[in-house]
Amino acid sequence: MWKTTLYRAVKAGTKNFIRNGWLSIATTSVIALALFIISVLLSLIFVANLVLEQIQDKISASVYFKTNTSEQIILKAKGDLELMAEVKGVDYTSRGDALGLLKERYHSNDVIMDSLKELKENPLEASLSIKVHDSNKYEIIENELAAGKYKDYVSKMDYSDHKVEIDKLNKIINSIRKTGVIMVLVFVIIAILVTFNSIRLTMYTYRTEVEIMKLVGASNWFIRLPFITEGVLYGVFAALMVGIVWYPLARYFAPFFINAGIQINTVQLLHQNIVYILGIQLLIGVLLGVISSFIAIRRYLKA
Amino acid sequence: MIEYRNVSKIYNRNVTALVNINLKIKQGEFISIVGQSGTGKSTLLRLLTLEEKPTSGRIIFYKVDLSEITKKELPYHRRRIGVIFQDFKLLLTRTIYENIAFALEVSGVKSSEIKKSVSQILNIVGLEKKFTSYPNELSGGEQQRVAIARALVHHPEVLIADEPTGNLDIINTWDIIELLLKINKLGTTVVLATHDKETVDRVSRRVVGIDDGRIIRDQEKGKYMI
Repeated sequence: MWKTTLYRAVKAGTKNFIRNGWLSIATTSVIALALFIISVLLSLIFVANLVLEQIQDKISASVYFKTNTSEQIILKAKGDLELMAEVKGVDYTSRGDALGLLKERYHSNDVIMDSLKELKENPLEASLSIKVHDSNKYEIIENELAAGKYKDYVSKMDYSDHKVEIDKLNKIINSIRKTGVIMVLVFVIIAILVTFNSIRLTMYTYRTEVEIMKLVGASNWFIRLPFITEGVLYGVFAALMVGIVWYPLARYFAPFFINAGIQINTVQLLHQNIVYILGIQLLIGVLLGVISSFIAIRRYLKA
Repeated sequence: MIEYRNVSKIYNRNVTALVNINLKIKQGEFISIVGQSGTGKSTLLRLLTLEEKPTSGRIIFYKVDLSEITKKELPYHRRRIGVIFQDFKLLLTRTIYENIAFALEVSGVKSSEIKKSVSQILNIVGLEKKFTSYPNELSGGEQQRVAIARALVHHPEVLIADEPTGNLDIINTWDIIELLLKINKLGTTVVLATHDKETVDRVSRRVVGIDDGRIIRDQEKGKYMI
């Protein structure tokens, strides 16, 4: 019996959805708008995170060793650093490499080249360039080197020079994450309220029908199921509507990132995650539709 | 059989709809409840469909005490009754066929049986050609015939008619009354509430007069009198 009931409910709900064409389009559009706002905010946070990761990746601290430090000690320090959980990677630049780089960069600058020739010995220090997972962690590294067993060999740390900039960036990253989450939450709540109200208005037009159905002897579930089916349909079509908008939007924004020198291809990113994105949208859309319908119709079932 | 035992319905201190009603309705009877508007006729009927509950007293409906019916059992109780109203109460977004079929769908009747029953009942009420129309496309008389078809398609024990001809002209009124008499002849108990004198006189069956919430008259083969 429940199979027949379910079949009839789905059929009745679908028929209602089609027959009330304009009302259905209006309600679906409201859910689509809500979904769109939620999705845009979520992807903004996602893209902002990617951008910040890239910026963080460009930051590194450099440790310079006194010229009399043997390569063995420096390589041992490199090994020790690499064992630390906070450290992402360490690159070694020997004194010779540093000189090579300097010559390569300033080969057309006669003043520098001449002064290098004047010097009998390579004046440059060997260095380790350190990248960490989280830019908050540079201080730990600094403490490890400057206060630890290598303190006699270290001539200077570049991190201290950039401390202000790095701290500033950290603050920006954290505040973007926090405000992003708060904004998403606020918009999600607004979207849910608007959707719920829109569905409530739709259900209001059905209130006499519900009363009649009850008088004819329909059980509450028999009355409720077609409306829930309608809720599912609102959600599905809203998700599809938003899904269609994604590709042109990604195409539109792609040049902005390239012009800003950020290595993010929005089209490719969308392409890789489209199933995931559509799945989430479908889930949120259907949940919004179903829960709103369920609550809205409850009122008339009680009466 | 339906029995009202000392039934009263009081809405609040100032509004008393029914006072100490004692009434027995036999199986297969055609009973007209008469009285002016606002005297309690509709309340009397609404107590049977459990749209209202009595303030005191009991109603026995085919051996079931209505006060014992739970929320869950309510739909099953309503399926034993067919109801028609002055304002037809049809589902405006559904076709005539779907409106009538709905009364069977709620009980989980098979689609093939629904098809058969609906076309049979459409023949009886004379609307076999209009099954794809929507209620708004029909005249008042036709809409009421659809409502009767819906009320009867699941073969209820009782048909309750609350001012069924209130919105109809004379010709349509007679059509509907003839139809109700025909249905009664086939064995269904009919409880008709009306304030239309001509209807009652023409039916010429048991008449129960109500005034100010009290039964003032109960006559076999009665006429409309106040």
